[in-house]
Amino acid sequence: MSSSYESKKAKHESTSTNPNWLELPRDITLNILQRLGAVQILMNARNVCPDWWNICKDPVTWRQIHMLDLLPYVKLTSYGGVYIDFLAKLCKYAVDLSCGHLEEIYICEFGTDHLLQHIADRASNLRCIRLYGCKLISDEGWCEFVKKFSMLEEIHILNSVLSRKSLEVIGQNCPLLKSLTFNGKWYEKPSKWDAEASIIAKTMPKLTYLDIYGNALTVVGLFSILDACPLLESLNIQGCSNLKVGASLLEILYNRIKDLRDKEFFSDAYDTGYDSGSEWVRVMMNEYREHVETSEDEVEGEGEDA
Amino acid sequence: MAEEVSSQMNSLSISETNPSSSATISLVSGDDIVFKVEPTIAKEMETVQSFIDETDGKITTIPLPNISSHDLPYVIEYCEKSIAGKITKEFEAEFVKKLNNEEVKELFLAANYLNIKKLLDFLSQVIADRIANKSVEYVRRYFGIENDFTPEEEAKLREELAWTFTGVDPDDEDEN
Repeated sequence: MSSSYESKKAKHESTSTNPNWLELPRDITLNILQRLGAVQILMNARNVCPDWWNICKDPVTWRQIHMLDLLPYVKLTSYGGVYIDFLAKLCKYAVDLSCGHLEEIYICEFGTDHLLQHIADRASNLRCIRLYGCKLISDEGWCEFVKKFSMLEEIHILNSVLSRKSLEVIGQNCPLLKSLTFNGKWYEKPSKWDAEASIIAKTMPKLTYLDIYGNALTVVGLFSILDACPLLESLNIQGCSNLKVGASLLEILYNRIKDLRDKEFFSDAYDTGYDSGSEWVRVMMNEYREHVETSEDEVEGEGEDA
Repeated sequence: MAEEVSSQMNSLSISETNPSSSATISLVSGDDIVFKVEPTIAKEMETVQSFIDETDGKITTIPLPNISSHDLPYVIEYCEKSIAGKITKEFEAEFVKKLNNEEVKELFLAANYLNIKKLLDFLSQVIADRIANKSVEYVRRYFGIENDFTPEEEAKLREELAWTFTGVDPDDEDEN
């Protein structure tokens, strides 16, 4: 049995011809490429062959820009500002390639007010934005940005330094908002959160998904949200230490909310699955660092190719 | 008497080929191995199903010259799980563990040919995972793609990369 399988397999491998991937329909290739995320498309995939280069130039490819799972880069933080600068540049470049088709963008630590401004000026079709750990984005930068996007349906801001003011401006400017994650300043300095809850209750009636883990929400605030958001199906209030959730309240919650989250969003994706030893990332970053250093040293050194 | 029997047999054979009946479908691999599957499995394979529909269900033996007898059982297994609603992360992880790079690619092409959306999406992710964080040369080898950039294109490509590295943003440059 096993020997016949082996021989079959051997025969199978010897007879299999190399399938020509370039003959696959474009959307099939795109389906694979998009899963790589923006950094790998720009730094790698598009350099594979002219066909892929063309696919990666197509604005349709850039309807989504995902720059979230960048652990290999984050691990290279000894380069500090270089890393942030580099990813911000790639992100701007990808936004430019989208030619206004951008609908969904995910950004991690490298996000800045300046980058938001760049997006705001070029992505009028944006429906969804996810910011993770963008501590360089200020309330002012965010408010400026969100005022230009009345069509946003999904906003996810995690591990930020944004305050109530940002939440307020979201409420005022995004009447279509269906999905919100808001995790800001109070994570470090808990204060009462009833005012924030009341902003959500008053200005975001269409929410179906709400993730406000780790704040000082009270039962009063929670019920004002539940009353005002009849469509709410998914709620994460984990780590809200002011909430005294007894058995009866928990029952009400479970009856009311289909998906009551008890696990921190994103932690899974962020902790696992990344090959920190990835050689090309290291090489690339080294190259970049060298480039920056040499261009600082000698501005005219153009003749040398990398 | 003899006539009656033959007419009975006729009605029997008609009911067997009726599309609504549960006659099994024979899928014939490129190397001429026959796999008998339930019609529900065939439904998962859009290409097969449309073939059956086009012939009003009269033809139940379907040649799949592009798919080997090595790959077809994997495809059938995935479709079976899909119908049973048992596609879990665990199943997918186990499923993919059995497959080497060559097999993943062939299954991908089979899924594309048979037009099985779920399997295609799943394998797209598998392939993306396998080429993630790999060098350009690795990706070329993986797909068997020649580096057919012309020298001019190569130069342009380098230029483009340099663009990315230096950044022509007037805000960022020339300040320090």
